[in-house]
Amino acid sequence: MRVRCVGIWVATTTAVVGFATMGTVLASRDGGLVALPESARLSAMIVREALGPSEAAKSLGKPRCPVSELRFGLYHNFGRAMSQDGVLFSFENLSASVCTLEGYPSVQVYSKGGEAMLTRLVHGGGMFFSDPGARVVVIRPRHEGLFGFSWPSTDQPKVDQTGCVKEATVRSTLPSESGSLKLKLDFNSREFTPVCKGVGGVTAIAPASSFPF
Amino acid sequence: MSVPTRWGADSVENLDTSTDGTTFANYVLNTYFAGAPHDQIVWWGRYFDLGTDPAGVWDGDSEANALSNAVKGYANPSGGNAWIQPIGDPYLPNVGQNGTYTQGKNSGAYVCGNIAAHLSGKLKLPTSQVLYVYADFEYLTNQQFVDGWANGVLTYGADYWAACYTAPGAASEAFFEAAGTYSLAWTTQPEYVNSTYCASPGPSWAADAIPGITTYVWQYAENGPGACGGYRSGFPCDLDQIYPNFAGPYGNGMCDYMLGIPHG
Repeated sequence: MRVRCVGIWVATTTAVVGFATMGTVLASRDGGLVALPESARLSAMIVREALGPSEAAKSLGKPRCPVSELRFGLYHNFGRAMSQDGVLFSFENLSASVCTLEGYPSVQVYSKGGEAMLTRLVHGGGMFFSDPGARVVVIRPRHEGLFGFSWPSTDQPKVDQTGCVKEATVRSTLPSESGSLKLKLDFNSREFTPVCKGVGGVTAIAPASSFPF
Repeated sequence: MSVPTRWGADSVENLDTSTDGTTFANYVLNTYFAGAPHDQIVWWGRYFDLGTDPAGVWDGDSEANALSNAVKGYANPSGGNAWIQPIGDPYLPNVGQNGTYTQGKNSGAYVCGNIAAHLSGKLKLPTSQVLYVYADFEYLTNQQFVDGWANGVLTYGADYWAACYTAPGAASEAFFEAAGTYSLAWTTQPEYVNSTYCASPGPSWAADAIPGITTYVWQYAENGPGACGGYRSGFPCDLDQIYPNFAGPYGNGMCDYMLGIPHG
């Protein structure tokens, strides 16, 4: 898995809960920062991929994952091609119980001034991924459900003249759930270029195996 | 002599990826863009170097077969021939696209080497002996790296020529212009704010021109998030067209300077 040097702040609506950078995730539910090495994330991926259809079937009827027990994070940055950026976001189950997620999260990107950048959000793939479609996804404790998100971006230096901004916060709401999770990305870094007003695309939540890279 | 525009598409997605029971190429041509004039797609932009997502590069003849079978499946102006427009989007460790002249040159040579490695009975250099390879530089870059990439392409072999994907005002535009070694431009209008624009039955040629570089390819609509002509929103490909009223040496316009997938 490639996760390039990305500085991000992960927060619930009430508290900052995580920070990720070059191969390391610093995470805490109560605001304190702890190191979670990349190797641990890889191990988690391997375990998650072992979740077969039969186990998923047995877990049907499990409760939906509550927002308060999820961590919203950047899982993979596909980069940029043909004027679009694409990433995989993750919802990690922080609870001790199996829970489920299903459907399309809502995503909006807000500028520093609070302006909504996405004029529309469509369900479907982005330039880097196809939409696996809505299904019940079983999330074991400390494992993740993923979804793809793409947005129009620019490499124009005079971003203020093009409806694009360098500082913005991504806010996501789970389907059929109240409360949102937010994530601050540096849209003026080597990894991300300024985000522009336009149409964003979001996929359904799915296991990592649905998004090969 | 003039020819009608030849529609195209581009994607990071492999053309042979299974999509709704068929190939991605067939789905795009015969379902997603089934309506006129977009069902006239005969060429496809594909990556032969994509540093941020190596899984998205060209993976061989199965992709050529997928496009060929899709193009052969309907009446089109090419008589069943199809083409691939190669793109290079390097991203090097530690420097991304902001490297040295030598790193740029090595990247230019790399993408050409990957093209050459995939040439086959299904994917051929153009008979015109001029293949344009487009640089897609959308990260921080510099003049030396841009100059080097073109030199790497131009010195790889006599058939290989450097071209660029950029837009008026883009950070890369001035570097491509100053290099003086990029022969053609592929521009992005009408993207950014108006990314959902779509005219039917198709626009007049209205690509934003790059000063000093002939602009003969136009990214007509970004279809990743904003559909244009496709009935299903959020689909991983763009819609492109090439300059009409240019016949090309074999009557196929700019397709005569792309990798050929012969009908048959």
